[in-house]
Amino acid sequence: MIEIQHLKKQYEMATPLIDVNTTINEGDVISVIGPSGTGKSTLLRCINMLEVPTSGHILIDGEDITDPKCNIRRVRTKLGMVFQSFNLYEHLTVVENCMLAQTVLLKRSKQEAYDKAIELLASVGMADRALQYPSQLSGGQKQRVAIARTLSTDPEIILFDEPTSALDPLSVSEVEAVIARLKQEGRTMMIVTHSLDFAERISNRVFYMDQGIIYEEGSPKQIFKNPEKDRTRDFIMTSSSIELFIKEENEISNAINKIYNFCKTKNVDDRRIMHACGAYEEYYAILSKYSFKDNKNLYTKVEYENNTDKLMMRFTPDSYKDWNLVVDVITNSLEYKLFTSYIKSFYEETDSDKFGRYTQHYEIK
Amino acid sequence: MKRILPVVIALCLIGLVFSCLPQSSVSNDVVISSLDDLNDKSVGIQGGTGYEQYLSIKCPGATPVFFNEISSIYPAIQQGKIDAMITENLAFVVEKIEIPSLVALEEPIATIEYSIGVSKKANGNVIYAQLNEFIQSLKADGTMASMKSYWIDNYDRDNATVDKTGISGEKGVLIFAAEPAFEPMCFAGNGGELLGFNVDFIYRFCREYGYTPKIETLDYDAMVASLASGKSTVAIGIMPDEERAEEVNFTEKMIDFEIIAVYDTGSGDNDGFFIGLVRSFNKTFVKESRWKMFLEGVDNTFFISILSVVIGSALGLLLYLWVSHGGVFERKVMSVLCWLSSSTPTVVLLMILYYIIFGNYLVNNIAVAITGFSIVFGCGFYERIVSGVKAVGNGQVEAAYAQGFSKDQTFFRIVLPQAAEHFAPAYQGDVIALIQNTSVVGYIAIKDLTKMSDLVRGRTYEAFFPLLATAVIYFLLIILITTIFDRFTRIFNRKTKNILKGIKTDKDK
Repeated sequence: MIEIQHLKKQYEMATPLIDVNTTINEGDVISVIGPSGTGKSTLLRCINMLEVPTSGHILIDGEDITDPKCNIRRVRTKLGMVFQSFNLYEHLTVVENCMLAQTVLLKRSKQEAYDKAIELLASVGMADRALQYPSQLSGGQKQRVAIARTLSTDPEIILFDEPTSALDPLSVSEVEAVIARLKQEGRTMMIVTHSLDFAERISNRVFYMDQGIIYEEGSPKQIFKNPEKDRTRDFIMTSSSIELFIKEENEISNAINKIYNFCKTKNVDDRRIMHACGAYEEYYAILSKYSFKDNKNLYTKVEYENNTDKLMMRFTPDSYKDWNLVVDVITNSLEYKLFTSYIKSFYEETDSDKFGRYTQHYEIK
Repeated sequence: MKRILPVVIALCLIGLVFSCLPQSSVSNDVVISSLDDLNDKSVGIQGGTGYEQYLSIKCPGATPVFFNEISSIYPAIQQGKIDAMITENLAFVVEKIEIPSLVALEEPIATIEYSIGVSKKANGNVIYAQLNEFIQSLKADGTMASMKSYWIDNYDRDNATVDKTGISGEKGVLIFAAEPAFEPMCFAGNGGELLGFNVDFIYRFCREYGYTPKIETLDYDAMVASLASGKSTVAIGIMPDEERAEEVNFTEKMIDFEIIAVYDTGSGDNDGFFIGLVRSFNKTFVKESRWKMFLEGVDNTFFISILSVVIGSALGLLLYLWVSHGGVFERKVMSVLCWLSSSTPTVVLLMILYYIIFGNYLVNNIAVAITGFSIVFGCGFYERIVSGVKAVGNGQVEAAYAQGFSKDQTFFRIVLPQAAEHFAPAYQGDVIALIQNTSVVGYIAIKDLTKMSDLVRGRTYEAFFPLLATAVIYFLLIILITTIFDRFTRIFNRKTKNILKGIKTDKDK
């Protein structure tokens, strides 16, 4: 379907792509991972010619799009793209965002375009927002609309450029769920992501990009569990983390299982595994007891840094809009005393995201 | 807020009327009895007359103060802003009627020959010879003397007319530059009809030699430039001097006249407020159907403003598209163009267009004005678009390209509607500034609102009422034009548009 031959992209100051060769087949779900600045996004943007390659060829259904004579605009309607920053048309309503390309480029009637747009918006759970403007939506909602907009032109492949990087933890799971459903529908997708956890779950092929080439390619199992090359292994090990999101108390055992498995694969010692699971349980107990408005949503990120041998946990509760108000009560509770017994250090640098949520950083003892 | 604002402004204007109306003349303590007394005084002179050289001979200590038109000197002298003014004994007859407190010094400053300036361009030399011949014949058969008597010595303000019949025009058009604010030599009479000694002469000449007279209304100080560039062929009453003689031919003298110094004794009439107001209104609008002149002025100002905005906007958009499809060269050219248009005063640009670029062509001066204002407005609009586009951001543009939209589709469907929201307020300000700026078109012989009010002031010898009326008319004109554009932009405003028009939704089915 897409064939990339000796693709090279050179800027004045850097050469992110030196020699990329690969073939993308129909039905592939490809995750592109790798350290920053290794040309993951550049590769994606070259495929629809938002970046013009320095040399090499990209063939889409046999047509060389790097050829200046190629009608790139027609090809682009076959290539959907979802951006990190959504890039919705701010002056158009949600439904018009999904209609514009249909009516203007594909010459569909307004009615056809509207029906299709509403159907797609319903499939991403945004039909009830059809007449709102993008500025009225949250990040996750915007990204779901952006996905619906991309689908509106029936693309053969969808390119995702870090679709969840600009989102808050709650929205990440919304968008990931939509992408997972697209996979079930059998869509061909290429996803640049920093979330290794998501990459492992979603894809059937994983590209590890480094040194200006696709450094290692394989199934998720190969790349994440048994990488062949050293650089790949280093990247997988050092930057590894898992993200957990639970809404109710009965999900907690499942989450603790995940933490346990994660720590096991990182060869963390049993004492710290036990502490990590305990800390998680107690933290959730505190949240359940003291949260406002019965909101027990908790987003957690567990990170293991291979080089420094540190096991970190970051908690982002959905309530506690003003953490300082309840901190006295919490610190005097029994659960908190238990919790602190599992913690080696508490990082004061608690910061708030744009929703006013605080994240606490802890290192496990 | 929207409703209160006009009321507040109206109140301010009314307040202004009240504060100016009882224009009780400042009683001058200054004693002026001879030309020597002027030596430490300020003396008002109309620019372009060259009278200052005569003043400096007679009264070297006097400070000349220049005014663009004679009608501005009267309020200045009445309000004591200047101590005296120089005027022609030709005009003083009328001035004395309108402003009885004016007193002339007996000793004249100079005696000057009243003659005609003739362009050296085109058929100017032929006309020059014909004029000299005609003047001689008029003097010989006594017609010149009877004209002088009719227009000056025994001038009947209410009944004097010019015989404008019998013009055959087989020899073509004679363009006659005139500033019709100089009664009784050249002025706007009933309904703006051009009358006076000069006009009488021109019609007699044209009748005799087979020309069609065409009047070009100009400020006095723009006349020499107009003759030199060939925009007009003759101008009566330009003071001959050596420098000017290089550019312009001067005929032999028609008559002699004296320039005299005039001062205000300050015993001005003090009518009651309302009587004064009614009288001013009558003089400014009703008498001699002067409202027609205002109407014509409004018409020109409106026409120039609207067309300049429309053409200028189209031009700005085209320039933007040209630059966005081009490269570095186009951008450089555009930045130089913008820099030039914003750094050149509009009036200078207009004069360059009129007298230099189109100097040798017969082009309609209104077309030149629209061209000039369109260029200035277009460059301004181009810069507004650029800043508006910057505010939209590149992400949406990339998203549109990625969907397959072309550059132009992206610009018109995605970028421009959003950029417009950003630059709309500034755009409206630009439109208002343009309307205000059109007041300079008098320099290229267009009778716009400002020029018309000058001409009326040249007849009424009043400053405040015509000026105030002009201000109010501009204010109304700006409200009218901005309302039109408001309505126009509302058509494109998405928030008022039914986006589901013509679409069946689930609720309908």
